[in-house]
Amino acid sequence: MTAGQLHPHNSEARNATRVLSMFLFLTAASISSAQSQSKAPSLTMAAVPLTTAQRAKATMVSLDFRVPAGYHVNSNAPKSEFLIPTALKMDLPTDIVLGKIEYPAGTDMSFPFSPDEKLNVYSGDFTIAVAVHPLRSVVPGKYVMRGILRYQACDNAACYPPKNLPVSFEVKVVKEPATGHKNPAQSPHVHN
Amino acid sequence: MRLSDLRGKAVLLNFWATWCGPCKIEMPWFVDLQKQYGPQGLQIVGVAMDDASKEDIGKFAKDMGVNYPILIGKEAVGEQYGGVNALPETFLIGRDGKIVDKIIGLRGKGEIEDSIKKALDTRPATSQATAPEKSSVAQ
Repeated sequence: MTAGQLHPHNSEARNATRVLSMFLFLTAASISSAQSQSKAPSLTMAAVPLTTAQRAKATMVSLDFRVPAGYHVNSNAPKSEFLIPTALKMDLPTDIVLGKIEYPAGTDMSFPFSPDEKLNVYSGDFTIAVAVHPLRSVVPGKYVMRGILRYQACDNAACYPPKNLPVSFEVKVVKEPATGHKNPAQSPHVHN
Repeated sequence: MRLSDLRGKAVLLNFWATWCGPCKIEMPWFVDLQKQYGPQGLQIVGVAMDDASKEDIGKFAKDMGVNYPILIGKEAVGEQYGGVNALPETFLIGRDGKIVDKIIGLRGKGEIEDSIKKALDTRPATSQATAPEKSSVAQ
């Protein structure tokens, strides 16, 4: 076990690492028993219907998430540098390029633990849209897109460590429409 | 601060994180309670269960005016003890080294103060009983 120590205002407490060891030792049993009473909430993602994506074109895919009742997570743009934003990180197959990720606006809410401060959060259902852009080199077929949604949840009295939700959905890549055909002859009439 | 310094003291051990809103509410209370009950034998110790840098945690604690030691306990540390799943979590340890109370989540300052009084009301363990602990922990 490693532990560091800070003491902003009192230099006499610099060597308290041993203290941490002692207290964690003393409290281990009680902490373990306490854990079973407070389960961290987990977000869920709805199944994503198979999306058809044309090569050489961006296609938006909507991902629907649900926050369990009674909890909230920070939005993608929380109002404090210390808060952990909800963020999607995708790892796409070769030659399928990730486009823009569109996060919904959060809701400004205040909570009993901080009545004077508004936090920007997601609760209930929210949707994140992802643009996937298969390049012309992609062989047509089905591809699985994988990623991770990182979030940090709280309820009205406690917060839970950040968690990662695995995200995956399937995209059917199809060829772009045939090109190279000549434009039909221009009509000779004149537009005024 | 050495282990021997805390022998016979009541200890409030508070697990917190910079990303935890409710924890921020408690910290000024702990500052006040350390001032108020420190002379009677209370020592508050904070454990930051945080992935933020040491510098960020230090800045955060300084901004909050913290007047008690803050230790850094990474997530891995909590996992060794079953995982600290909800923050804040606070343990009140009596002068005899035994846990007298635990508080999960944000509660009122009055409730924390009551628990502190309970911890302060305990009696230190006898020197005979504490001798083996001293030798094993101090190594």
